[in-house]
Amino acid sequence: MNDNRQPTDDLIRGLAAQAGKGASLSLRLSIVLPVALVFSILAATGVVVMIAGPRSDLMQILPTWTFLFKVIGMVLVAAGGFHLVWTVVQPSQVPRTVIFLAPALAFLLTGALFDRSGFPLLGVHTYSVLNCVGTIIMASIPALAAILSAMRAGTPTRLSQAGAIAGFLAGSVGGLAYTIACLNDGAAFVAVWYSIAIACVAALGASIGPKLLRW
Amino acid sequence: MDTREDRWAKAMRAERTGDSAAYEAFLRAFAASVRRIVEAHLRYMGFSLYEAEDVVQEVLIAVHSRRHQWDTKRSLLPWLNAITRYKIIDASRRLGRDARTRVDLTEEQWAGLFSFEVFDPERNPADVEKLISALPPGEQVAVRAIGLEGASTKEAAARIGSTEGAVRVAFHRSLKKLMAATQRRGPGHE
Repeated sequence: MNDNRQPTDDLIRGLAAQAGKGASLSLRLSIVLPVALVFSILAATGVVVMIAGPRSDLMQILPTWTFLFKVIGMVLVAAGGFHLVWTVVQPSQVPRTVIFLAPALAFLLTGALFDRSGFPLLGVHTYSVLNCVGTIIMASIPALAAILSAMRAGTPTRLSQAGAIAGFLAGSVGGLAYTIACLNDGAAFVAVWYSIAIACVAALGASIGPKLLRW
Repeated sequence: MDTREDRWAKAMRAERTGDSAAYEAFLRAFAASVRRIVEAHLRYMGFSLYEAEDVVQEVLIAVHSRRHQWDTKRSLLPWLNAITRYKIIDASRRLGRDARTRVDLTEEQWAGLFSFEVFDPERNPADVEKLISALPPGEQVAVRAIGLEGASTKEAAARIGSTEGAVRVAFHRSLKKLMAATQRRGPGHE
């Protein structure tokens, strides 16, 4: 057994000799993650503009409550998601999912419960749901790629969870981008279908996370 | 207070100012602690301890290459534990896969194993007998019937009064143990 440990001893000596070196080379998460987030938002917006295009009356609806509800809801979800990404790549931190998603959940639920807009849950067109969910997922794909690659600068130790959280953030960025194209101004529609789209991207992230985040 | 957390955190901070001696002392103490955990885990999972040092080294390299990511304002031990846990799980998955590729052989290949030197009954009957008799009784019967006498799983099952599936499981399980046992004794053992 002691013969076995000789290489470990050698390794330790080698590692110790590198003390104090290499700090400047390590990629800093505090730079990489925000950059990935900004890229995600731009890329998702690009995809939404390409696939769906901004709605023609975008300028008029900007200051309305229905539009703001979508934007604020998605920003809250994305903020919680970003915080979770930040914690899940640091080994000593436990992502407190419930606490950071509570504001977003409360906001969307309140909106959905007091939805008096009369907009149907299944949308104003036959393909509303399919359009909404499909476009959000498509817009989230480049965002998911960017976020996952940025997370590799950190040290995720629970890879499925980390992948799911990456997908969650990507999905909410996709949702945020889709607000400029979305014709369904009912709060219930947004709360239900946007959430389902985000959940799909989170599931995708959870399934590819273990492969892509391994180190 | 001179707890392990304090001592190790101090050494990790000293590393950043280039204190090789403090860092080396920390790595040694940490390696010893990781070794205990890894060995306990490998034993619990039924893997041979042969791999333990490899896993210890993987953990050391992982901690070393990510040492700048540790936030000095946070506790060090949870950070070390999470990395150790990740690397041990990663290693057991790999070992499990290796074990499976060794175990997932066809019936013919399994039978062929007995013609390998270590299992050659002609060459070393007493040795094989000694290994087999260390197995649980049910597995002994399965190994003798299928491995040594060349019976099919169906025949062996009929003989023992068990199901074919149970016999196959007992047979594979016992072969895994036999292979581990011969590995422990090292190559070149007559």
